[in-house]
Amino acid sequence: MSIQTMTTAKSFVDLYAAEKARLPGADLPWLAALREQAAARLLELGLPTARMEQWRYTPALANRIGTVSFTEGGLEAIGGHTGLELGDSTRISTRIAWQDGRIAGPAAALPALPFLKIRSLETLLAEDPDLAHPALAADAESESAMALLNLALLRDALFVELGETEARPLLWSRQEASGGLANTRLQMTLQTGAAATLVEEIDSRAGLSNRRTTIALADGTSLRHVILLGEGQDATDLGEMQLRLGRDARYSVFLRYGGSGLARQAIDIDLTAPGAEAQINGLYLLGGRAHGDLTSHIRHQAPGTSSTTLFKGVLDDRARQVFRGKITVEAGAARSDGRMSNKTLLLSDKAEIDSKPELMIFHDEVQCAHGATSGKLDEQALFYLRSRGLPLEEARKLLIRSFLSEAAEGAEALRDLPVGDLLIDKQLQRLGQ
Amino acid sequence: MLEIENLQVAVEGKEILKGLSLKLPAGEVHAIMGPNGSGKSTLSYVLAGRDGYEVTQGRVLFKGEDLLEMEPEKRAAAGVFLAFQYPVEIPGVANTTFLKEAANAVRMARGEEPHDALRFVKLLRAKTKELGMSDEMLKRPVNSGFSGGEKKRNEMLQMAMLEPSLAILDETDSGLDIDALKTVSDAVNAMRAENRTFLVITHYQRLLNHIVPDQIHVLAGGRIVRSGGQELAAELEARGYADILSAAA
Ligand SMILES: Nc1ncnc2c1ncn2[C@@H]1O[C@H](COP(=O)(O)OP(=O)(O)O)[C@@H](O)[C@H]1O
Ligand SMILES: [Mg+2]
Repeated sequence: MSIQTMTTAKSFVDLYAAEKARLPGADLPWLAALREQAAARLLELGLPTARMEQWRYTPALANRIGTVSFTEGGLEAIGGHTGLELGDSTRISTRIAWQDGRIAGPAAALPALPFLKIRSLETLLAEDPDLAHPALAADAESESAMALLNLALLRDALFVELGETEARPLLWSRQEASGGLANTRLQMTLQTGAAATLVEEIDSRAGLSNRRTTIALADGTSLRHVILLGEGQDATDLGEMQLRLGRDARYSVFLRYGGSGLARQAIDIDLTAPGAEAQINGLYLLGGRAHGDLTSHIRHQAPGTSSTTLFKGVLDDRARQVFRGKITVEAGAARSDGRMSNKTLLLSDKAEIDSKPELMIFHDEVQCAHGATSGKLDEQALFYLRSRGLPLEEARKLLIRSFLSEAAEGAEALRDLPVGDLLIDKQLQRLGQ
Repeated sequence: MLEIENLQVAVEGKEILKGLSLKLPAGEVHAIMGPNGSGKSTLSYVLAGRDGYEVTQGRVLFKGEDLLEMEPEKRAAAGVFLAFQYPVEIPGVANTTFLKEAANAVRMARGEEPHDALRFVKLLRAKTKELGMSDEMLKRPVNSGFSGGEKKRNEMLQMAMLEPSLAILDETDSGLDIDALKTVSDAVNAMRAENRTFLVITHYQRLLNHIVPDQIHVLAGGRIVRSGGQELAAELEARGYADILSAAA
């Protein structure tokens, strides 16, 4: 199948029909039934199109997805270089490498510590299928085509259970894909008293990666989450993430995308109990015809919950960015605080930002604010810097970096990773060349 | 050092400078006085290389080279420094970072070694103190939330760090109280040197009591209408611009 071909839901369902006997858990009737259900529903629903509200600003998905096939990249990590150093080496850190939608290396190599259990799909299905069932069953009922696709053709998943510990383990998951379809799933539970840092690097060179993440944070837990989306030329990366936060749980995520393909991350957060807090920070540096999309929905469901979202983008050439941020404050959520801001720097007249912040408030006693701004590099500031001897390119970079720094500096997710500056500098080198 | 010959400049099609000529020898301090809107800032921007100023006639030689051909950063490297009348705020960039990048950019362009980190900090601290600025202002973003006076001092700090051979001070005195005026003037006087020229633009004689210029020029209607010594400042102070302008007309 060539890149030009329109990819339809049927292409995926055909692939499912051909592969289903070889998929993990094919011998488990409940799982086979769920997959069957998902495939059938996917066929009815079709792939996301611009006609669907959630995808309105991210059109032409069908034309972007090229090969509908699995790629066998060999189940060995290709020794990718992250450019990022692990922080404090005294901390328990675990690296998980994925290749083309499967966890590379023998699953048994994943560590099992008293407070940390990490299992692959096959291991979990063999040892503890009940743990996998609820989330997969929920996906079978999903109205998200990507969730259905993920379930139907899921080949591997990472299940992480974290208990109470003094240390804050660092989990580093790196996904590489060389093309084709990579459906992955990450399911994480933090039990009371747990704290962790999770770094996800997604580096697809081409093809479609379809990531699905569910995270449950029990009372008093904390998760710092960093998502670094790759720089693949033609890659399409779609991620959907669902989180539930208990009492006084803290979740912070920092998202970066600097690729030239299409990346969409949907983030759904339920703040279910008092004191739950979420922070979403992100930055996009896009050039060429890159398309970045952040779609978030934060539900304040209990009193005294808070959320902040700060998203910054720098767009050059014909790049396009979508920001759809929605905050819902439910009737019982007194004294809740939800803030959301999206600021964009447009370096080219052809670049485009579609920003759609939305507040739905069903309680009087709350504080909510959202703001969206977009503008060009400040000519005055540029001249000021040049008049002090900074070459034009340096001056531009300094201003871009200063614009972006707000998103990285305040990001709790980056607190114990020495990566803040690097994240920006690496991208800056590629912009404006 | 600087030779301006018959300079004519238009902004958005409107003629602002209408044949301005001026010679600034090395080591001298010249002052330009003139009413509001006479083109003083326009002149300083043209010399620093800001976009949007169309030179329709004339030329400017700086150390014998065509200044108007150079990009702003080239001019800075060649030794031109403009203290802005309205310094620009740059949120997100720490003052120290900015000063260091700027100082090292011009040093490298001049074929000098960049400052090593320790030496730079020492030098910066010393200059900061001389200008009556607090170290805290070095950590803050460039000019962000600075008072008018603090911004002007920060301009002087940049001048001190960049060691220009031609320093243009565009109304650096406005917004300074008497004590600050004295501090800033002292800092400028300390930088006076044989190979350094100052062009001090001001509205008031006050500054020129502290920074005594070699020559004073009156700019009006886009031209230098009179030049003279310190007595010219006194005359302006006593009689105002109107009188001098009508006499010159
Ligand atoms: N960017 C601009 N666009 C239009 N007119 C300008 C601009 N800058 C300056 N001018 C005009 O040029 C004249 C001289 O301004 P300026 O050089 O700032 O005077 P001064 O500094 O002597 O007060 C004024 O009439 C001013 O309105
Ligand atoms: Mg002026």
